[in-house]
Amino acid sequence: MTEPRKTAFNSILKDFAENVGKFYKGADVLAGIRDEDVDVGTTPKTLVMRRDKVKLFRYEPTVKRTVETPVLIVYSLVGRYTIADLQPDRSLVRSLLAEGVNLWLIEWGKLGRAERWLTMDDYVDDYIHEAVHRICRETGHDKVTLLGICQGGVFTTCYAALHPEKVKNLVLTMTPIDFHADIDDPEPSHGLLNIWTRALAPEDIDRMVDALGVIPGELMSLIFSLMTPMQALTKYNVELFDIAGDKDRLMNFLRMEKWLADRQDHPGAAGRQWLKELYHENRLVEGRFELLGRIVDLRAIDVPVLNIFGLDDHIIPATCSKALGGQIGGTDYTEVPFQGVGHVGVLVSSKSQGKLAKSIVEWLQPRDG
Amino acid sequence: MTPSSDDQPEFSQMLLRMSEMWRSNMEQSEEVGKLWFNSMMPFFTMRAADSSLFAAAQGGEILKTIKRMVEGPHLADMCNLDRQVYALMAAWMDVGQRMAAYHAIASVPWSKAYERYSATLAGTKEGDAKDFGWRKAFDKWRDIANKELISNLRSKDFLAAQRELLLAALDLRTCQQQMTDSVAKLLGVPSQHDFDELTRQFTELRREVRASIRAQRDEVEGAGGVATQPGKG
Repeated sequence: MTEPRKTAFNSILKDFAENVGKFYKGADVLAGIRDEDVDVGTTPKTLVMRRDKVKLFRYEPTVKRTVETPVLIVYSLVGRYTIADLQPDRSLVRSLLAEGVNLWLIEWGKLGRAERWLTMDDYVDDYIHEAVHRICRETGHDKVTLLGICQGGVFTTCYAALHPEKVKNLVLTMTPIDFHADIDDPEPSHGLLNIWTRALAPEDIDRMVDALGVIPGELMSLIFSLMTPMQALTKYNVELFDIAGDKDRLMNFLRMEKWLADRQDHPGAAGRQWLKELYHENRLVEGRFELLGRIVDLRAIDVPVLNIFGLDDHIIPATCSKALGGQIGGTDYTEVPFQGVGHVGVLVSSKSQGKLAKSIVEWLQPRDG
Repeated sequence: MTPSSDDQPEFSQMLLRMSEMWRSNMEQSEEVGKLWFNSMMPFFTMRAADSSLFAAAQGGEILKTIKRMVEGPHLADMCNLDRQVYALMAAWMDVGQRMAAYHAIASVPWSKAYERYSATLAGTKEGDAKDFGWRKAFDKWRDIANKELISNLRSKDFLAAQRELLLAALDLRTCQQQMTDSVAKLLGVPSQHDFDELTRQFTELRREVRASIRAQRDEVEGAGGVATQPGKG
């Protein structure tokens, strides 16, 4: 029997047949998944302290300890920490535990309008300080290593500058320091958040916080979707269609969706500081940022610093993170750029798995004594 | 039994006639107001609901009229809730206009993407065209559209339209909240404002208590609360 001629029409028919098959397979896989199967943040941990909605957890060790100094993960107020523990094979938490790290987590809780008056001062000088104090009491150490993620990295940077006596090492991931350095990033898709914020007047931000009380999680979700327009438009059709037949990829997609949907409100007072004093006025890198009446002087950071960022990060351009290098007082400063990886990709992409935790632990071990 | 006006002294009769006249005038004003409201509301509602560019162009005068009514002097005991309704209406119409302007600017990159994509197809060589299946075509289209959309997101026009839309939406939200708080007051239930004030006081009190506890703890632990950087002031 002769092969059919390779024509455009035959090619379309072949594609159509394959796609129909894919559709039915995908529908089958999806039908077998329940919402409770889509579990995130499942690594076992123990509640050690609760302070308002904030909780301090200690993760259960999985192997013999190789890094003794406790490492406290401090996440952002935008989104939940569960992105750092998305699923067993995409989890910074599990990877660090597997490398023998004494790991702790401060969890901000599901924030709402009741938290509208909380400031960055409260988060840095009360919640983080009390967590560090409690960890030291529980472990017998007098210092901890802080691992800050995104805005959590700004919190830990401020804490390290204000309380260097409590900090052993500082690890930052995707952390903005110079909020105007996006102009040095040539990629057009990077730094939209910086541009959009600077397009508002300071009084516009005041109006937003006064009117809404908080920066709503839904608004943040909308903004992040706008920053990747075509991805947002094709996510639930073309892209979902491609992966639906592969259960592992589909579960990864669904877990990301669960994390994306779990977006709490950002306290209004802290949001005002974040947008006006940092995004607008860039006070941190200029040495004018104050918490509780004290200047956050980056030169006071004389502890070892590890600065990790994604070179394809469109939310916190790499140039904004790299700016820390010239600012701190200490000389032990290391950068680990991740190529081809975006903002959350540093934590969950297949390119960074293993490499991220290894980079951190290999850096921590000689600085543990 | 209600005494008749004939039994009252002359001054009291005058008062009674005046209050009767006042009552009648109020009833007539109410009727006139209702007539005006019933005739204008469908028009306002239609305009407010129409978010097309045409409406954006036509709604400007109506919006200005309503805003003038809202921004006029306040009377102590009259029309406060009405004023809030009109303010809400004006805010809603404003959002409609800003949304139409935003959509106009947000739609520009799609036509640019189409032009670029058409040029790409026109430039595809015949041999390559046979392998240019729907998936490759879609990926090409997606890349071009994404670049045009991102470029638009950085443009001055987009930034201005986005800002105007945000401010209009915030005004609407503020008007909604004011109305809700007024209704809550009428019904005797706590309002959002009450809740915010309570949480503010609670947060400040908590700060003071915790600062005091921490100071005592630091003293006990010998840390003394000494700042490692010079404090400001």
